[in-house]
Parts: sequence; C-alpha cells; structure tokens
Amino acid sequence: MECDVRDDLAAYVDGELGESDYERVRAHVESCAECRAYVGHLRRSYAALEHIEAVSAPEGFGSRVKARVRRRFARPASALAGLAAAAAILAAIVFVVKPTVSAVTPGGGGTTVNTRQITPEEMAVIDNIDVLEDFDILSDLDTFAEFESIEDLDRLDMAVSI
Amino acid sequence: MTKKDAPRGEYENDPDTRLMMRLAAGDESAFDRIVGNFERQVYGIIYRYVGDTAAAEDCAQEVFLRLYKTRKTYKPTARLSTLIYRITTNLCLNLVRDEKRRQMVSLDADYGDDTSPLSALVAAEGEAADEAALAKERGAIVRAALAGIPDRQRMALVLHRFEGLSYADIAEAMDTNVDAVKALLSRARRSLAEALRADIEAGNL
Repeated sequence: MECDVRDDLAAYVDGELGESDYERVRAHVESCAECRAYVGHLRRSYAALEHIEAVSAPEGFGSRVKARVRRRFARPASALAGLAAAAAILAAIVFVVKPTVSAVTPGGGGTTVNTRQITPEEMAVIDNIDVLEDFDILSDLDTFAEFESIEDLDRLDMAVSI
Repeated sequence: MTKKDAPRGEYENDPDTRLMMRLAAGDESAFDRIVGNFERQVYGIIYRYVGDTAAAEDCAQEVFLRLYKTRKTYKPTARLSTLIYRITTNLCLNLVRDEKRRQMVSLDADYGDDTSPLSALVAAEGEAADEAALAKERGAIVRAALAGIPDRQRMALVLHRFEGLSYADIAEAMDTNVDAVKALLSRARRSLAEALRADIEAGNL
C-alpha cells in the first residue's frame, strides 16, 4: 500500500512545500525506503527531460508574426478605402453613363446606346461587382472578428485580474 | 501580500508590461520588442507541448496576434508575462483538443507502441551508433514519454520544468489554484517516472 505522503513527493522534490509539510515529508522519506526510492526515481526522470533539445523560435519568426499582424489588422481599413473608391466610381457610372444609355434617337425605329468608352477603373468595378454586393458580408465579418476579439479580451482580462 | 492583491503600480514597473502599455498608446515599435522578448519562451512552450515545429510556429504566431488584439483595451492588472503565458496555455490546450477531435495528431506516432527507438537503433547499427544519434534518440524517448502525459498535466510540467515557473505562476497561467497545480504536477511526474522507468533502469537515459 502506498504511503500517505506519496502525492506530496513531487512538491517536496520541487521545494514547493511549506515549512511544516516539508519537515513532515522529509522525516517520512528518511525512514521509508520505498518513498526514498520513489523520490530518487522522480529526480532521475525529471533530469532525463534534459535530453529534449533546447529550442528557439525559427529564423525570421518575428518578421512573419509582424507580417501576419499587418495582414490581419491593416486589411479592414484598406478594404474599406478600396470599397469606398469603388463605390464612388460606381456612383459616377450611374449618374454619367445611365442617362446616355437610355437616350432614344428621335424619329428612329430603335434605340441607340451611347457607346462611350468604359474606363479601366469602371471596368474594374463591374468585374468586381460581387465584391461590392458582398460589402455587407465583409462588414459583418469584421464585426464578427471584433466580437471574437472582445470575447477573448473579456475572458483574459477577467481571468488575469481575478 | 499575494500577486493578486498587488497594487497596479507594481506591474507598471515591469519593463515588459511597460512595453505593452506603450503599444496600447499606439507605439507599434513596442510590439516588435515584445515579440523579440517572448518569442523563445512562447515557441519553446508550444513546441515542447505539441512536439511539432510547423504547428508550434503557427500557434506561436497566433499567441502574438491575440496579444496584439488586446492592445486597445489592455490594462496592467498583471505582468505581461502572465498574460502571454495565459494566452499560450489556452491556445495549446485548445489546439491539442481540436487536433484530437480531428484525429490528425499522434504525438508519438514516429515509432511503434512497444518498440524502444533506442533499442531499434542499436539493433540496426550496433556499436557503430554515434553519440549524436544516441542523443537524438534519447530525446525521442523523452519526448514520447512527455507526449503520453495528459494535456493539462503536460502543460503544467512544461511550464515548471522548462520555463522554471513556480507553482503560483503556473496557477495564474493555467487559470487555476496552487493546490490544483500541485496535483497536476504530482500526477505528471508520476506518469513521467513510470514511462521512463524501463529506459532509466536499462541505462538508456
């Protein structure tokens, strides 16, 4: 049968027992061959952990962290700026292009569409119209990220300040 | 006076905590220094805990991302190191839990259940096995023993053995109390001692 002090032996070896507990365990270990052997084995097995090689962060780790931070935290601002610019161009198309598209040739049998050359910027908006349509989704994603962040913060702050 | 009762000013004198306060005030260069000051500890804890370099890098990066996220609401209610250890511990425990759910990780999958890697090496190479190879294999034995320890016990052990944290600091990092840490470490060391008993008695370690 195991001695009562068995669960205290790790803390005893680590020097984490209070004075009275330490003395109680020490007196027992001196008189108990089995516990003495167990203490020796605890020490040897803990020392064996030295065979796990020393590790340091890989080369360039800090740069990768900073790049990831920039991607994660700079994106919303630049995305919003891009979307704002795209929205401005789209508005320009609506006000400038649309009236001429609806113009009808007087007396003619059909309609003539103003074929004003679409600028590359306008084309980019048209090509990326799905991005504009997804603007609300993008905004919500940012919101969700903030929620997650706030949840984490609350948890951490609460836990740390308890 | 316990750390939890310490006045706020005590933490504000901690150089790392002051760096975080500078980051909170908008000084982005402070973040670079925080990463530099803690990357070894964070990566080391995670690597020893998960035993995989790629997962360790990804998880370590995430630790600093989470830390950066907290900058705007950061308050020096504890040392910065405590906050970083807390984030690291939570991410590690979640990472391994999630990996287990996906059944993608087997920390000791490099060799069979009952085969000592050292014995296999000796059998394969006999007396020719060089010291470097033996050291590597000794490391493999110990890593396998560490990987076999239940998650929270293993985290407590990594923080204690490799980072030198006291039981009280481990309790703060793991959001628990000192008695629980004592129990975790007692069980962890018992598991480790049992796992290594044969190799120690055989003189392999």
